Amino acid sequence: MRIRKRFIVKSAAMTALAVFIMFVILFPVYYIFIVSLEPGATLATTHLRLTPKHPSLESYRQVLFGLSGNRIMENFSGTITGQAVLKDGKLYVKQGVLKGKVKYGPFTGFTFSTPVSGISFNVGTKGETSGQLKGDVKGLVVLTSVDTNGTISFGLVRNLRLTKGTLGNLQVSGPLAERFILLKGNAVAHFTALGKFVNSAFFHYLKNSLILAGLAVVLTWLFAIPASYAFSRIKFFGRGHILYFYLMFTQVAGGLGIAGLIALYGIVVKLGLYNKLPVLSLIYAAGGVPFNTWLLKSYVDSISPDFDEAALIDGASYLQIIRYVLLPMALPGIATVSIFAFIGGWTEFILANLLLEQNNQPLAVWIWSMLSGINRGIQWSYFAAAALLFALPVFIMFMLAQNYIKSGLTLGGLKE
Amino acid sequence: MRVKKWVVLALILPGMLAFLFFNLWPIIYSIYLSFTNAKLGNFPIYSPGSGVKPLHFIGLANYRWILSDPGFREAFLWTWLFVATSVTLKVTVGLFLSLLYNSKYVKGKIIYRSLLIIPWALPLLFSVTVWRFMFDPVFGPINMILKSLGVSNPPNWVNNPNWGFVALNIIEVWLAYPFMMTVIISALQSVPDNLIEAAVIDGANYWQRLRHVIIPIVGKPIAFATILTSAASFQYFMVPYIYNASLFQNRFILLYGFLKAFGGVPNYGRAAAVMVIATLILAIYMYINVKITHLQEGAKG
Repeated sequence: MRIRKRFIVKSAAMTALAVFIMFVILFPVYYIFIVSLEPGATLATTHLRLTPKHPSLESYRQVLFGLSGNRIMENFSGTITGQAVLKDGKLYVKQGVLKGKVKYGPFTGFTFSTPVSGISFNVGTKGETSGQLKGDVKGLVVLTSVDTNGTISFGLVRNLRLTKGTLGNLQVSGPLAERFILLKGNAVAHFTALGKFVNSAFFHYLKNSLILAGLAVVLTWLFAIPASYAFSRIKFFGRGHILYFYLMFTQVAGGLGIAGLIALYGIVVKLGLYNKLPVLSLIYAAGGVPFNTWLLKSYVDSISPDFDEAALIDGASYLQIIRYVLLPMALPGIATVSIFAFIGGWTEFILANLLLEQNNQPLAVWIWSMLSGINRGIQWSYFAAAALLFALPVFIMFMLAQNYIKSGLTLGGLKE
Repeated sequence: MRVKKWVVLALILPGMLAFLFFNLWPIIYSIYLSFTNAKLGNFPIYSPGSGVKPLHFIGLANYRWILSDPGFREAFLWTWLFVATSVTLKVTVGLFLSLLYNSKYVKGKIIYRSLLIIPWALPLLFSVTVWRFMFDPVFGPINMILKSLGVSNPPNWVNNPNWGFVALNIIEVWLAYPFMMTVIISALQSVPDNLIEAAVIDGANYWQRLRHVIIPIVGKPIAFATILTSAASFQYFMVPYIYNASLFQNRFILLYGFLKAFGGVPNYGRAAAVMVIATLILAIYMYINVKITHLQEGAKG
């Protein structure tokens, strides 16, 4: 009975210690989450707060829907109303309002309105008259700068065409006589949530990240799947040496990657491949070849060779064996390799920063470059939200495939 | 099963060629560059107007310059110091956490263990920026806690090189403990229970059991993990680069080399020479360790 009691006391103490240490270790991740929920201004206090005082999603809203002022170029249709004069086949609009709405694409639902004066349409209709103009228009709107409250600080309307207008009892239609209408100061834009998202800095980088990581995954399949089959199933000269070399390489890959960076930079620039997204994907996939081949090879090893030998006897070719026998069975292994390739492409930023210009840079570079702008215009809360959004997909993927990934990360050793 | 050569080649060549071209060739090319006068103006593309001589062979001049550079010597020594401190910490913390979260006294350890994996699941860039925030002299919670504990003048973790070095050690332990823990716990679980029970019956206390029963069995996996993690410490680059690159310029050998090439005054030849030296050291270090511990046995199979 006394032993039992001692056990319980000791167990309670140890469990409390274990829980406490876990909280200490995980505190940074928790804290950054709390920071991301604080509206920017309240963070300026130098007080440690363990729960957010005014929790809000303001920072996330700013990251995801904050207007970045990216250039927008969209076709729109809309209306024009105002006082107009018809003279010598030309329709002069003196004081009117032009309203437009985008009908297709990611900016569907985007509307703007601007006062117009002193513009004219070549309508070709004879006669002289004046009065109230009402009409439908089509055109192209180009916005280069929009303030957060929706005021257009600079934009153009081009290719404007009056498709159907009525002036008194006359029907008028025709193209704009001027080359463009300037939108400035008093023009107002209204974005839908999707439009704001598409126009945010986050989306711009997200798009690049997705292309980069997605392409890296596809190339990784191409590189790792056939090779892993060969290494697992076919005995050939040098097989063991190559495998051993691959394994050693995976352990020093990080350092060698940095060591070869200068030369790689030189090679890429010399070949004229600078600022090309697919090239970077190719570099990522190439760098992952040893690791991914190893991982997938050990997975294929675990599939009984009876299956493919049976197929071989039935007259199947190697590609057919890979395609119809091994691929379906090795799917979990392929998924793991894909996740590794995706995470690699998603998180790499040294090469991306070195080999890409701003228009092609991925999220990781954005996060990294924001770090140096903190306290100089960028709030910690905004940064925290962006960084968490950046980390989220990686986190989810890791958690989904964690058992496979763990065995991959401790690759090579510890065969039990 | 008779296999034609071209089949094997067709299967392994796509990946291998990409690997050779983008990973091995740059390293060979680096060796060449380290013997040239490559710098901004003649590399990667020669621009005649820059006043720099075209790329040519200059023998061992880069190596001579580096070995006489106090910055390089400093970086070299600090890198090894970091290997020593961080590896000691990583192994100690890893061992401690493994024993704690594998202890029969701890209830609900499966849950804690799966939560403690979280740092592993986060991108390195994210983790380091989080820690950069933790250590922020003004907004960072660590200094806030220190202040509330009565430290009137808490250290500047971001701009003081020595405190920054301490911070990097803490970050590295935080980044590496999931790996160490996974390896050590799976090793601990392979220790047969009856062996420990026998030791208990023989009257061995906890430390004696740890020292004479558990460590000899789990020693090899721990040695394996230690070598890998020490290689990672030697190649330490990303963390100091994200944390505060200019502060650690003369503290980490790869960062030193990187900033020689892409820092303020690009001198690619010298940078390549630094990288070649670093690669050689790493290769020798790995070779010795692998020989000592027979790591390659794990590669078979």
